[in-house]
Amino acid sequence: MNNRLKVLRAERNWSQAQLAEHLGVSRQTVNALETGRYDPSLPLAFKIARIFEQPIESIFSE
Amino acid sequence: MTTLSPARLPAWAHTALRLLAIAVVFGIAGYGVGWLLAERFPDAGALPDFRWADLAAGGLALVLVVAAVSTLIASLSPVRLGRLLKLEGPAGAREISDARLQALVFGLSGVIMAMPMAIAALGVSPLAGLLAVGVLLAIHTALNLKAWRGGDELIRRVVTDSASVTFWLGQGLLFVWAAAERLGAAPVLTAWDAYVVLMGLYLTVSMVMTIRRGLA
Repeated sequence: MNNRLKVLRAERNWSQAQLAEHLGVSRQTVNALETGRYDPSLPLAFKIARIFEQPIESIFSE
Repeated sequence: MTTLSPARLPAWAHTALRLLAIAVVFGIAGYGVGWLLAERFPDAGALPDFRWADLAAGGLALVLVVAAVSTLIASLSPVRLGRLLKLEGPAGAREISDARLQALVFGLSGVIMAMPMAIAALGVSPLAGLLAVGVLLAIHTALNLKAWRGGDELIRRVVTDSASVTFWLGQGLLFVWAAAERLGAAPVLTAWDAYVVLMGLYLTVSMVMTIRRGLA
C-alpha cells in the first residue's frame, strides 16, 4: 500500500517527532509508515486522516 | 594515491570492523573469566560433556549478550542511537530509555540461556539453580511486559508476527523430528534440545521481522 504521509507532513512543516506525538506512536513507526514498511491499523489510519483533515482514501492507495 | 579512511569504507566494512572489535573485546573478557573460574574452582575437574544443544545455547547466549552490550553502547550517544533507529535527528529521552530496556531484556535472556549449563558446570544444587533461574525469569517476564505495554502498534505487530511465524515453523520442525523419532530414524530429542532450537528460531525470525519493518 502507498501513502502520502511524507508529503502531507512536509506541507505542514512537521517533523517526524511532531507527527508521532499527534498520533501517539513512536518516530520509528512514523518512519516505517512513510517508507511503506508498515501499513497502519484501521484506528491509526482514521487518526491520520483526522489529523490531516483528509479522507483515508486520499492518503492511502493500493 | 588514495587513502582508505573509515568514512570511505562501505557500510558492510564498518559492520565487520565493529563485529571484529566486539569479538576481540569479548574474546579477551571470556578468556579472563575462564581463567578466573579455573583459579576459583581448581577442583571442579573436567567440565561436563557438552552436547550440540549446549554449544548452540552458548552461542545464542553470546549473541544476546553482545546485542545487549552494543545496544547499551549505542544508547550512550543520542546521535548514534538516532542513526541506528533510522530517526530524523538524534534519539530522544524516550527512545534512549526504550533502547536500554531492550538491552536489559537481551542481556537477561542471554544470562538465563546460559544458566543451566553454568549451574551444571559449577556443581550448584539443582534446586538452588532452578530457584535462581525462576527469579531471573520472573524479572525477565516483568521487563518484557513493560516493553509490550510501553510499545506502540508497530512494536506489538513485530512481536506477534515473530511469535506466529516461529510457532508455524517450530511446530513443523517438531512434527518432522517427532515423526522421524517415532520411526526410529532420528535420535531422541530432549526438552533442552527442543527449547534451544525454538529460541534460535525465534531470534532469527524476530531479527528478520525487525529489519523488514525498518526498525533496524
